[in-house]
Amino acid sequence: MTIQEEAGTISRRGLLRAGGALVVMSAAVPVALRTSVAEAAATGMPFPTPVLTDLSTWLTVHTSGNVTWRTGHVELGQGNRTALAQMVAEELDVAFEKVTLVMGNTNVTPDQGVTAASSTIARAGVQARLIAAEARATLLSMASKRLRAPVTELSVKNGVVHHGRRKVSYGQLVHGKALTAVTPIVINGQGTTVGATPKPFSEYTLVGRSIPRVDVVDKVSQKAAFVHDITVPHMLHARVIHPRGIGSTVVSVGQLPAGSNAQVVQLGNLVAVVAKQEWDAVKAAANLPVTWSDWNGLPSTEDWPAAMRATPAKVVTHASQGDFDSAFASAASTLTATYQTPFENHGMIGPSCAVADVRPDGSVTVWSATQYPQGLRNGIAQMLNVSTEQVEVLWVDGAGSYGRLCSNYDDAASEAVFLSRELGKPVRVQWSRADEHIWEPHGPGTLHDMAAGFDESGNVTAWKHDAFMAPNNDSTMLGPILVGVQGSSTRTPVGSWTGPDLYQFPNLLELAHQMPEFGAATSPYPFGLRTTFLRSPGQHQITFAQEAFADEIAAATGQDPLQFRLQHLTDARAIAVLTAAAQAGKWEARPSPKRDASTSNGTVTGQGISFVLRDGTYAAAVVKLEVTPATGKVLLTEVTVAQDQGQIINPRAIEHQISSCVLQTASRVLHEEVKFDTANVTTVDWVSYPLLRMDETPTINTILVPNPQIAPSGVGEPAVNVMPSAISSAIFDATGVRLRTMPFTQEVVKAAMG
Amino acid sequence: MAIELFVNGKKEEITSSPDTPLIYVLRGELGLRGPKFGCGLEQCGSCSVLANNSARRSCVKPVSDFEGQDITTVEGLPALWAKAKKVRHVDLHPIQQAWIEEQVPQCGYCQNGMMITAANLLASNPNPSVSEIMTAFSTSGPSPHLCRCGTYDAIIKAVQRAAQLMA
Repeated sequence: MTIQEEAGTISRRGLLRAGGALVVMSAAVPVALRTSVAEAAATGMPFPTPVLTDLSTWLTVHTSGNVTWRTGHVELGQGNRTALAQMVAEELDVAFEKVTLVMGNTNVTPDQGVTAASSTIARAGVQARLIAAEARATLLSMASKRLRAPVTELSVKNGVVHHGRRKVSYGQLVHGKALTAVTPIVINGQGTTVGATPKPFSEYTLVGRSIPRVDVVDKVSQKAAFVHDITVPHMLHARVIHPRGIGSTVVSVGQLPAGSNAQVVQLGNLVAVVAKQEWDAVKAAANLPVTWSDWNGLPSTEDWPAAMRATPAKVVTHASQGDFDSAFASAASTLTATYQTPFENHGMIGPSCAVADVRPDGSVTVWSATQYPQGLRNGIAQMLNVSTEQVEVLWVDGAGSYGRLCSNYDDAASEAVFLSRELGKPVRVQWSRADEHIWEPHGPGTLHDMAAGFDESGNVTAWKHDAFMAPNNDSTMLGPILVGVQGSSTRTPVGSWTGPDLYQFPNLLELAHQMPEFGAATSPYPFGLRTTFLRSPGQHQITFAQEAFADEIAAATGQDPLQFRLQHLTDARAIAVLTAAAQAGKWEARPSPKRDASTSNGTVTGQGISFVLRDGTYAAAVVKLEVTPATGKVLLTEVTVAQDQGQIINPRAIEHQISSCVLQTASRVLHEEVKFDTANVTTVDWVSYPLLRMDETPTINTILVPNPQIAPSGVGEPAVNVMPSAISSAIFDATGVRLRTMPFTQEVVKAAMG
Repeated sequence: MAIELFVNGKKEEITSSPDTPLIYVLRGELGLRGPKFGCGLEQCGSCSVLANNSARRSCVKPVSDFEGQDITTVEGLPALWAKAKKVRHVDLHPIQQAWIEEQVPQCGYCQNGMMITAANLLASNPNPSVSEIMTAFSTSGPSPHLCRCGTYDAIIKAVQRAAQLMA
């Protein structure tokens, strides 16, 4: 987002103030990046709350024919800025280059909910498509009058309406006039409806093309501003000294060494140092003596599975059919196993950072990489006890957050607003690497007790999955809690099951133990070991246990894992992706483990297959890998993913998302585990919490199964889910050893192989 | 006396205190965005710069260690290429061009360090194999270069493309 691009949104505000009607536009007026609530307040004009049913909420057609499109969703690195613009340009019949998106500016962008759960295209994109169709119909109606020709005789190309040899551009049509919707836009629980009918997919010329991402050039040339790059006049740099234990409170705060250029700020348990120069703040944070109370309310890493089982929890039945207990009791053979996934980090490469400016009149501006600007705006209004209209949140690109800034909208912003209010100056809070590793709300640890019964022919007659899940929806923000203005949260976070069941097992029981956070019961704060959404939350863990256990049954009954799946599936799209992945991934049809897996270079090799349905998208993977028994090292050699996401908006962006899922999840499966002692997290950096390295990159093949007649579904998460079990099963295929506890580190694999 | 650096071809008299790690000088005093703060521990590579044509981490070592050196950030790569090709100006270094053609960045935060290490590698090895590329980004520096978004395969392709563009 450049400063100039924001301009159109500001002129729109002026227009709304003047008339209120629909769209319109004159040339953009350059304004500073820092749009000012104070400025508006001074003129007695509150910021308009976007009216979702008003076309002008969404777009501005400029005299030049350029289109500014506003969305509440934000770019997280997945390419949605580009894909949304493609969908809008397609529906409006304007050139792709003519559409510029404004994302996540709470003054002007509509609240379309949080950018998470692979929802931008499936929800916000489909809304945009319908609203753009409505806008196009409105423009055509205007053109009909101008050209004195019926709408049915008009055609549009590149934003110019033609009737025979006569023509008028969108820019000419709206110049100096208000544009009104012909029929109202309705957005409710049933979805979005408009009067106009969007184009049939057979007429698409932009959707379905690999248009290069609009943000890549600026990111490569370093012209793009990340939130870490935001500076404002008179800004102070802050470092927060977080509690030693998760539930520790301040006992005493000492003095900075003589000669320090920093200042100490203490607001309850929020202890910070601020300075004009960032390095002075960094040094002061390292040198400030703070004594914290002892708090030891966590089980240690080794003890958490037992502690989880011993904790009372609400048990929710996710699915139940037939009679599992009697089917299991009467089965010819049975199998049971327990799977475990660790606590994990989102692992933003740039630690949390935000800038806040709280002015004396109570108005607030926050620059944040949050995944939900409107949510952060509401949260800040609440914690500072000001009206929502006094708060503006300006979203800025951040480091890939993968859910870290989705339910917890932004810890750093929540700390920065209190420091700025106290100091009367804009404050930039930058977390250290240790702050982020320790205090990010982690991905939850889970346990899965699996049980299956089958008949003499190997047909599954009973299936049970009993999951114990730490919460995946903690929404606390540290700032107000440490300051002490926000007491116990109204919502107790819980772990929940995500994902449908596709396999047709006659007697099935699926239970979720919704666990509270470890330590929450004894902490003075309304949280314990904070855990929240991490890329494909819940389903990542559930699918690992489901799919790996399916392979255990296939192995126990001597069946090929692919055939076993195909026999229990009826959904044609599921069968299609599995078949496509197997074919492209050169799946060897045979039971596991492999008879002779050894190679001439001292490794053993294996294959694994997995399938998932995530938020409407079908994905299947074939993983090929090698294991070095002497060291325990697992190296993925080739990963093939076939995916059906319905309509394809931008093929290359989807392929890159699949690669991203493959590599990030390989990292989680092979290396990642948050460890803790009874006081707090002990994995504090990239040495104690390592990530996958480039020399572990497999060949990645992606197959996009076309289904253009079906609405597009998400692509940011599905392929995450197929990796853990495919890796576990490929290791089993290679070694005959089944690993059920992630991560499969070198040490774990070596020990398991004896 | 002020510390003198040559940053992206320009002489700079540094006013930050000598113990300030280079990254805070480049970002805070000189206003550059390329070097990114990732860890402050030389564990991720986001802050990498070229110092006298060699890839270095900028987040730990004090600016005094770089006294008199030529520092190049990603912002300075185009000028470096223009100088090498004896032309007045180029918009982008071939490495940047390759990064765009391969659409490497996802969030893009770590890519500064990736491009710097690509420049370092290609200066000494103009036609690296996949294995040599992997080594350069995994085991040759103080730590592996880390990317959370999973762009390693795209980076490998982009380094190979850059090698072609620079040949």
